[in-house]
Amino acid sequence: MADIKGYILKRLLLLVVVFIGVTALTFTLMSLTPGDPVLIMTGTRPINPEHLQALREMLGLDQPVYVQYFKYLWRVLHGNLGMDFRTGRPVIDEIMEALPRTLLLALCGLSVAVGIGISVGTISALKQYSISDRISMFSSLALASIPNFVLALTLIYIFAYYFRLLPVAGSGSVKHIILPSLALGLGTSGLIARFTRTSILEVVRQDYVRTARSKGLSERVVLVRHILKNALISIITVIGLQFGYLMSGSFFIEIIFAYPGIGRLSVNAIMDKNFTVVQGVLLVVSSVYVLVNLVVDILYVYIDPRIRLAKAEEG
Amino acid sequence: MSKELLKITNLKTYFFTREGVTKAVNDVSFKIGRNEAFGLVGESGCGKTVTALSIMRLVPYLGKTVSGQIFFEGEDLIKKSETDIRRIRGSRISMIFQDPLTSLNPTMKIGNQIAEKIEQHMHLSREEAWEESINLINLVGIPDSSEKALQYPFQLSGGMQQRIMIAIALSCSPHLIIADEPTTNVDVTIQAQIIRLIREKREESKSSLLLITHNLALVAWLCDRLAVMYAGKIMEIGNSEQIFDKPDEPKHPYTSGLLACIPSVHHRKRKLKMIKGSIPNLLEVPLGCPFHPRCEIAEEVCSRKVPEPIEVEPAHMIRCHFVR
Amino acid sequence: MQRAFKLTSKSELYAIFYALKKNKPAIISLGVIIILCLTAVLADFLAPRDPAEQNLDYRLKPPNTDYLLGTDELGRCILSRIIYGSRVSLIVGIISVSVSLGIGITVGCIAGYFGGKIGTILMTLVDITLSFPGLVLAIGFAALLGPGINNVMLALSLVGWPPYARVIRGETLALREKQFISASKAIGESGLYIVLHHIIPNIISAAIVMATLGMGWAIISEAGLSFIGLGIAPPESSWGLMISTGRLYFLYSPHTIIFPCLFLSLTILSFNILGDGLRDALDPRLRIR
Repeated sequence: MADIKGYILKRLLLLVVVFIGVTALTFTLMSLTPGDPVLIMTGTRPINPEHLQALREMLGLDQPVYVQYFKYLWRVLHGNLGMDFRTGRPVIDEIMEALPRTLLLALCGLSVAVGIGISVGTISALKQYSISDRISMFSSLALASIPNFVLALTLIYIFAYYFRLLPVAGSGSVKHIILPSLALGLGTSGLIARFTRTSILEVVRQDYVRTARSKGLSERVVLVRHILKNALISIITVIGLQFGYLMSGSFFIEIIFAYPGIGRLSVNAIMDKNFTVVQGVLLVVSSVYVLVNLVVDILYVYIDPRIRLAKAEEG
Repeated sequence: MSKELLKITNLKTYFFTREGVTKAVNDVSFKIGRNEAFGLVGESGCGKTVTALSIMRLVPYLGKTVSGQIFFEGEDLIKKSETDIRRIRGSRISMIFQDPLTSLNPTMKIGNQIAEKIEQHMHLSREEAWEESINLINLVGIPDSSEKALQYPFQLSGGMQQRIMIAIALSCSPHLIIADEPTTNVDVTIQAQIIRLIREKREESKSSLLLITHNLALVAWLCDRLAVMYAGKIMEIGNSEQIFDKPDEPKHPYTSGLLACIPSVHHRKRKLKMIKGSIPNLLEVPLGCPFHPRCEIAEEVCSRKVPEPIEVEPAHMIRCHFVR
Repeated sequence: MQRAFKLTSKSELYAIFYALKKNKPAIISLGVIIILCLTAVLADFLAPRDPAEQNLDYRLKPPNTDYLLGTDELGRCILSRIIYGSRVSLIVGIISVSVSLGIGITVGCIAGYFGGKIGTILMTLVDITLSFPGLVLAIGFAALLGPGINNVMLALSLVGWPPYARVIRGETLALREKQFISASKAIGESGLYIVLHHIIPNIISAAIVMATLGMGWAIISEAGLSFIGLGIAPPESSWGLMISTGRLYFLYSPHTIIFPCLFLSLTILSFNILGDGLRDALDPRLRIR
């Protein structure tokens, strides 16, 4: 087992490197903001130039770039992401309020996507070339091609307006999260369905499925223990990668449904030119994304015994 | 209770592909008795594996058994329902496949792959089935059986993987074991061990064996009777004595050719004989006797008429116009 | 001057075409895309009105004989806006994909063929960029650069090139080991020559598939950016923008949204179907082993 720890350590190291890269990138992006950030923040109100200079000094804007970067990195590592100049609240607080909500939404969307996707994909694979197969595969492609905000608007029209079933905006109860999750997850469900079908079809052709049948096992056992178990390995990697996509997709969904998550926070911040917030969001979202990918990679190692044991033997 | 364990009559299994119909098994008939080792011999692509799969009703996707009967212990397998066949598979007929690495589930522990079959057919508890599988791993000559049972196929050598396949096949004491090229994908040094193991276990369990192979030497060593197959048809059936031990006995030209082809370690300087030509594409089998384009004694009638099986001796059948 | 050693001969090209022809949805999609391109090019002739022309007395009118697809919240003709919107979508798609492809192929070939320190640095850059969720990065760039069609294209190009680089590098690595490359080197052909004449023609098929699917991604991303207000700026009309502004009225006047949604989805779907079809047609023949 020694080398699994080595593998995890290596990945954590990569995480650190990427994190530094992430901070560097966000810092660079923000430094490239055209215009004087101080002027942007204070707007058109006439201000004494001395005060402007004081503000600059306070923000450390008068110092060379690399100094600014290290100061920035230092602050970040201490959890200080700056101040939201509109509300006066620390950015980190605002993000920590909004982030769990977005994560919840992404998770619900993922559940929708996985639940529908794997079921549809499996049934399609087992009924290859039948009419239901063709229809579901086409629908899957269509769903994956429709932008999620279009799906959201369609769902709103049908369920909230026409049938008056579900609320459109806000948060706070289970009902509020149904439509957003659907809007977020349906597109990805199409992707997962198609991938599941491909994966299962590949597995079904394998010799060991034939061996399993030759043992006289029931079709259900063959499906679950032999087919799905092996197909799931590659499907899970895809699912893990989709989480990041879902998090970015939530930007649009949150706006449409007025859901108080990170997406809405950042888009409003962009409108207001509230750069500290945008910077903080970018940093946090990217870090979460990298972490999720790391978790998926590690999960993958554990799930496939070939990789898990091969790594153990390497060490 | 019939004396024969397995009786196949006029079996035809075709593959319906976009390019045409492949007549993989084209009127095959033979019998296997109880406690008998039977060899089905032929070059690659002559339909022997498809015959085996037809017995197990595991013919792959585009194939279908179109006619014929497969009587197993008195019942026609072709007419049985899927549920009944599943009960027979594994418990009364089992199969050893050619490539053990791809034929084992890569993400399932070895012990479980044996135990699941035992659980299915013998209604034992999980622990009992696991115990039994460890016994079987011992039986096929693998040391440290309780540790090995927890491992995965890729952690075993090719020889050990094949032994596990044999263990799986032996479990639940089937009456007929079908072995499809059991030594082809295994190292030469291990081949002898595997074959010896098969012979031992079969004799111990008194089950019948259907050995499918292109290797005549294996058949000679292991089997009581054999059939020679070519392009989907059986060309000759006889017992080992008749075919191997009596060079003056009438034989099918193809069989003679195969026997002459075997390189001998003891006659190194002798010129290696060949059968001219190559096996036909099963989409376009020649009219008449399928072997006639390669046959040295072929005449005009051979290209017109399919020869009927002729019994040249008791229990010795040859399909040729010119046997005597 | 040596001819490029292609793994594809002319007869194989025809075989690919034939395989594609059999895929009916792909051919239909190709047709849709061609119609779209024609619409974009001939927009000036096809659009009945100036897309920016406002008619404040005639706002939010549903489709009728005068305005075939109705009017939006400022009385503009939706049909004209959709026709000109196609131009925006296609231009953004084509240019950003081309730039991404250009950068991606260059980086991929260099990292794959020459490798070494430069290769490692380049691929680390790729990995870092890929560790951001694409859309978030695009939003970040767009927020930085501000709205406008040029900024959108720039943002999408910068975000879009790493996936190409990664795939092309993989293909180049595989090709490098082939015998005809060693033969080339033995004759004394320079690295640059080999890359240009032997490697690139053989990665073109993978690039084409990625580019087609990339068009779909670029169009959907542009629509998304415009939807949040970071993309195309008025008075230009982009489908995403139309959906965004029409959203406020859509419960009562759904036609303001239905048509842009429809055309947007149809376009993206067509590129995806075509990309899929191309991948199926090209893959088994040109798989580099």
